[in-house]
Parts: sequence; C-alpha cells; structure tokens
Amino acid sequence: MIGEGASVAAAVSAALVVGARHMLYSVALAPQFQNQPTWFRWVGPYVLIDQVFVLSQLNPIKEPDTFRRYFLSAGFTFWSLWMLFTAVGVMLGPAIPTSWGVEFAAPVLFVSLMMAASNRPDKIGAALLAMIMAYVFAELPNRSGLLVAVLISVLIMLLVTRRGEP
Amino acid sequence: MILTAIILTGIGSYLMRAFFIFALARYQFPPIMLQALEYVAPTVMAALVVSLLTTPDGELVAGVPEIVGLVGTAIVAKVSGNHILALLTGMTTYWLIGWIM
Repeated sequence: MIGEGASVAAAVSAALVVGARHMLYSVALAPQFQNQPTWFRWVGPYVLIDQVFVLSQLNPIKEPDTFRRYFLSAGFTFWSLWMLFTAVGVMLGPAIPTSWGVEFAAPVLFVSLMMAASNRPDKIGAALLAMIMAYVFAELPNRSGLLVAVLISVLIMLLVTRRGEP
Repeated sequence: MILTAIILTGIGSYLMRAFFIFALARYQFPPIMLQALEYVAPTVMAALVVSLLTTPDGELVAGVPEIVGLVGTAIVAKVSGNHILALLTGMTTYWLIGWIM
C-alpha cells in the first residue's frame, strides 16, 4: 500500500510539473479577470488550455463583458472539441500506423500558435530566445526546463527592452 | 489507484489554473509586470515546441523533415494567419521530405 501510494504521488507530481505552465497563464490572465464576477473566476480556469490562452492574448479585450463572452465561447468550443476528438482518437488511434508520424502534428500546432502569439518583433525575439533556452535546459526532470526557459527569456527581454529607460 | 491519480491530477491542474486569478484579483500590476506577461504566450509556445522535439535526456530528435516542416509552418502561419493551412503545410512538407529522403 505504501509503495502504491508513493507511485501515485510520483505520477501526480510528474503530471503537475508538466502542466505547471498553466500557472503562468493564470498570472498572465489575472489582470483581465479582475473586473469579473466571482462565478467567472471559478469557471474560466476550467477551460484554460494552451489554445484558449493564446486566443485571449492576441488582442487583449479591455471591456469586461466582451472579454468574458469571448473567453467562454472560445473555452467551451475547445472543451467540446477536446472531448469529442479524444473519444475519436481513442477509437481510431489503434488503426493509424505509427510510421505515419501523426504525432508530428503537435509541434506543428504549437509552432502555428507561437507565430500567432508573436504579433510584434520583440515577441518574435522572445520566442526565439525561449527556443534556445528550452534546448539548453531540456534535460531538467519532468520537463521543468520549460518553465526555467520561459522565466529566463522573459527576464532577458525585460532587461534588453527597458535598457536606457528610467 | 489509477483513478486516484487521475482525480488528484485533475484537481491539481484546475487549482494551478485558478490560483493566480484569485490570488491576484486585487493586485495593482506595475507596467513592467504587464510587459513581462505579454511575453508569456510566445515564450511558452516556443519552449513547448522544443520540449516536444527533445528526449527527457535533452537530446534533439528532429531531422531535416521535421525542421523544414516546422519552418514552413511558421512562414505560412505568419503570412496567412490561418492555422488549418499552417497545419496542412507542416504535415505535407514533413511527409513529402520524409518520403523523398
């Protein structure tokens, strides 16, 4: 029983470290959630996945009601598609040969999201920097190098862009 | 035991998403912090791409088909702003080059 408990703890903590980037999304969205009703603060995080986060960052919406409608529409659209296609994937997955390399769609998707999120020259610079840093720190346990790479890149971008300002 | 792990991961993953939205609900963000937050989306997406292309030992597992496919994806995504088109370009390029090589 102790052994099983330890393996559950290890599996859960590993999964949470892999998902820790969502804490950064939580910080980044905090300003836009400030003028919102409490129920939305509870429901919003439930649909906060990578794609919804990037969509929410493209053109930050200042008007609280518009932002809330936009976020929930995007969030629950992705939630429905996620549920539907996870089920489709479970059924079709075994029939698709691994030699096709369908899993390459994941990095392709994130490159596309990265370009959408890099809608300013300094953001493209930040993205390139983060790619290098992510490679440098790639061997840290449970993909924690991702967080280290992001934090270092953001700090460097702040130092570079604010140099010379008071 | 697997069910326990799934439930705990689900709760933990919700709490991570909700935590700062609640914790910083009344925080006055200084301008430098707001600028830092603008870099979260591009840097996390970039780091995710590299993370997907490296082994847990930190080794890069991308060959010519992968690199060219991703560069093609980036160009089409930037120029067209269309994710479906970018996805199709990336996958087709990757398959074509893999097939030729």
